[in-house]
Amino acid sequence: MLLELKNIFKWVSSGGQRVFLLKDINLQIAEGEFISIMGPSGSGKSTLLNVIGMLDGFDEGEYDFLHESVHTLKEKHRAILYKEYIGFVFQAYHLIDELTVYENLEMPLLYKKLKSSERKSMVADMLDRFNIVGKKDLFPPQLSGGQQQLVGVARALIGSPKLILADEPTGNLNSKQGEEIMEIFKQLNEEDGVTIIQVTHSEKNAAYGSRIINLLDGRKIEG
Amino acid sequence: MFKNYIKIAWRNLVKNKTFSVLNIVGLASGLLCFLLIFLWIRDELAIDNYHANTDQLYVVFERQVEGNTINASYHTQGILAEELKLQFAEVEKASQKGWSITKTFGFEDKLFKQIGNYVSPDYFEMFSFNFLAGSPSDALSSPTNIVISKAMAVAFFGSPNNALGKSLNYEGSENYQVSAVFEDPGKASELNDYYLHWDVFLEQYAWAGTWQNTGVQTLILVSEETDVANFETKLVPFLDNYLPEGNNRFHMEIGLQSFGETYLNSNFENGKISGGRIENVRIFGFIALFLLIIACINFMNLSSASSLNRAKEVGIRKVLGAKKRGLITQFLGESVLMALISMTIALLFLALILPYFNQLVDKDLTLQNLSILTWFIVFGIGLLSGLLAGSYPAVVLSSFIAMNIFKQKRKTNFNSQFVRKGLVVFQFALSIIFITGMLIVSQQMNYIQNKNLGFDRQNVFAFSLEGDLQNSYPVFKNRALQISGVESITLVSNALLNINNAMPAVTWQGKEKDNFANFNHMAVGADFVETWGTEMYLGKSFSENSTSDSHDYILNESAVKAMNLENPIGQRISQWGQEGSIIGVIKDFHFRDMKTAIEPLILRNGEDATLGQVLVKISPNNVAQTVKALESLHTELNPATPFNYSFSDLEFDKLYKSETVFFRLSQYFSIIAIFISCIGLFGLVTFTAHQKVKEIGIRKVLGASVSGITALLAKDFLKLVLVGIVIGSPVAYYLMKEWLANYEYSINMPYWAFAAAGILTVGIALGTVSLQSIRAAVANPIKSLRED
Repeated sequence: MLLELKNIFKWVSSGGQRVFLLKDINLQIAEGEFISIMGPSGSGKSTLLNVIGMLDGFDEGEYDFLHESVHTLKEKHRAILYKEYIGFVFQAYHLIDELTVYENLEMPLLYKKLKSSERKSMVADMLDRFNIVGKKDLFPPQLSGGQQQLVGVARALIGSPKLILADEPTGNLNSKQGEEIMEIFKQLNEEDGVTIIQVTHSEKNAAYGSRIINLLDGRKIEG
Repeated sequence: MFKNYIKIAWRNLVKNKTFSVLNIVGLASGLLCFLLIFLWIRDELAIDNYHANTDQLYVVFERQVEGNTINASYHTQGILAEELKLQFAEVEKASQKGWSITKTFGFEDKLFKQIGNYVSPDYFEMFSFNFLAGSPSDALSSPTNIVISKAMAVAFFGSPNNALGKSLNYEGSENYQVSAVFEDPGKASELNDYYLHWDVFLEQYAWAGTWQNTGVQTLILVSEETDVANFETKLVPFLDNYLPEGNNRFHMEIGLQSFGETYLNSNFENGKISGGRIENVRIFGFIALFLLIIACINFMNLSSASSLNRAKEVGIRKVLGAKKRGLITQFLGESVLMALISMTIALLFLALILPYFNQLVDKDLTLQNLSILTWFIVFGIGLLSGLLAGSYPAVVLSSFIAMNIFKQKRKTNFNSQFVRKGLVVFQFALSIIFITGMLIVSQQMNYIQNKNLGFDRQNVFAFSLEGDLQNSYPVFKNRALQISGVESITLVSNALLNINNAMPAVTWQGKEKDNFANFNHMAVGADFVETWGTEMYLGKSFSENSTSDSHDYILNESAVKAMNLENPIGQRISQWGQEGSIIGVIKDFHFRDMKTAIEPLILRNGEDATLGQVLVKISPNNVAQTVKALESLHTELNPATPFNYSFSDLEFDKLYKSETVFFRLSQYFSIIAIFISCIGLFGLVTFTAHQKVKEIGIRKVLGASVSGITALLAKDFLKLVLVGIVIGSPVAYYLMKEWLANYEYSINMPYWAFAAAGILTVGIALGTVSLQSIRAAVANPIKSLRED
């Protein structure tokens, strides 16, 4: 078991009333799964993804990640945990515009305090693997959306995470670029055994996954 | 990681060129002003404080208590120093000191005018001089000795060693033996070329050898173990034993002031030391501090404004595992880097500007020879302002919550907005104070320049009456008047622009017992009224061949008032026991700066005087030619004395030198203050426009016009500027009222200056705001809305 959510509730108070963002979510994810979270706008997909990624808290329930209870951990330890095991891919790529492709890839390694020689070989590996060696000295605004997302995925992967969380990774891309990214995800999942959880609107993208979780108004709908 | 920080910092710097330049320029100009003032203040504080015995050196001052009024000054008796040393074990060494005076010296065929003073033999053992030849202990062992500066030694004898033992001719009469040569001490308030023995002074000025007359300085060196406070109390009644028993309404007291403090604190109020130049030091100290604060505020505002563009980076870094501390370090590091760049630029400009600044403030400031400690302080201040200015944006940025950044929830809380707005208000309040101050100072300067002073200082020049001219003045006058362009000539005993020798020793018929009025006095020759451009009010002036009583007197209007005389002409008055009659009353004219009221003045006939100045009025045409003709006449009649003259209008300007400097500096500093403030405002508008990009987009889509949006943005900022003006104006009013109160003759508070400063500030601020607002307003709304 990679992670388990038990009776997760998350709400905001508005005018004295609780508005539920997540309602009684129970979820078990095993290593090696490829999961797609689907649902209409406002159904809580991104919130769920952020809770799983430990970027956001919750109000009630329990969350175990690799047998650690996340809800009892302090912010600092949580950071260590997700830094180690989780990689993020965003719809808007979220690359740092002032850093080159190379430097963007290197950044997570800096925060892991790896040696310079190690960083070099790991970044070189990634560049090679995604066929972007020629782009390593370019800045993100000089790349197309697809290429930027490629760098985004590479950055998420560089720390060899167990889990990749992707929030509409193809949302800003055209269909061909989107397909490319999805192929990469599939390959990662099948060949490297990386667990992937993606939020998507597209049935086609969802089909790449092994399981689909449907959300409506913060509640998981079976079937 | 460090490299990564530097890279990001540098690329951001280059990417936001406008911002970076504004930010660096703003901080650099603040730092530049700060450094200039820092060097100036440092120099002011160092003056007269370099002596090895500085803790033991004291200046004696005397209080003249007359009824309820106490007048204090450094004027003491010319025999007090020796007496104090004799009577008190606490006084180890003591010296009198006269005033600096220019005299002509000769050696072989060389003839130079030199400025010097008279001191007692102890002097060189009390004060630190670097002797290049001779020794401090016997420098003035004999009254025929003279101690000269290196420059003077080189001018006459080629080198200090050559000078030793040589005989220098003084004013064409006595000879003095060079006994020692000293190096110019540099940071001294009074620089002399030569020192003569005190006995020489007493010979020349017999009055100084009595207990009744005061006028020279007394300096003492107390022993190390002396409790100065106790000793001073002991000294207070000292003079009672030496002065004739006066009435119980008049007596004199002695006080002590540490020598090192006299340069900055030389004003007396009610018998106590009360400020002096130290006030300028304080004012400029505050200005320096405020300019630095304005610049730092700016830096904070601009940094937090540009932080919006960095929010995404912060979010990403947090997701990738950055800790808050690391982020704070990163952003603080960036602002420190900026500050150090600014500091470097400021130092470069400082080196460029320093010569001009030196000219302006008449100093010799340099960046060389600064101690390591000073450099440490300078860079410490740069570092500190970087930390200070960077702290706020660093904390704000690093506490962004990653989630919110991605969700575009870029709401800044009320607190940080309040802080930013408060900073802008503060900046503009200070700018208003600077600008109003500048306007009012300039008005007062104008007033002084154009006020009718009761005399005409244009085209009048003076030179000293000395050497052969003392005997041949009538001949000189006769022949000079034949030179075309020379209008009139007279003799005066004092420099006319700064007469300050008031004393009560004047009697007249019907003088009330409680009349303690002080009278200034001077001797003037015939044609004084014409030459100095004054007017007679009553009676007549002195004439060349006044066969009658040579003890005739002319009073100014204030003197008549002080004496309470109804029909002054023909009344007898007596000064120093010399009785004479009043033959005329002259209209009041200014003979001191505008800080003092016109005091009573008594003029005596000085037609046969042998000391003082010759005053010449010439026509404004061919000034150079006329002066040249007079010079050759002077050389013919007085070959042993160089012809050194000074024009009165220039001398007049010198009286207001510190005001002129003050005015110039306040001008520059106001410009810089408003400039920096506008940079800050610009930053804030950019910041807000950025925040409201969506609102602006929506409004435009819904049909708002560019001017409407500009007004929307500008309105808020003008409110801040107006609040700044409302806060700053009363402060400026108070400060300037205090400043004008220093002057006996001053302008009325010009209320328009406040309005003008306000309008100017609003105008400049409006320009700045509009520039950025219009840019935001004309942007294509599609672009701003699409980003969401």
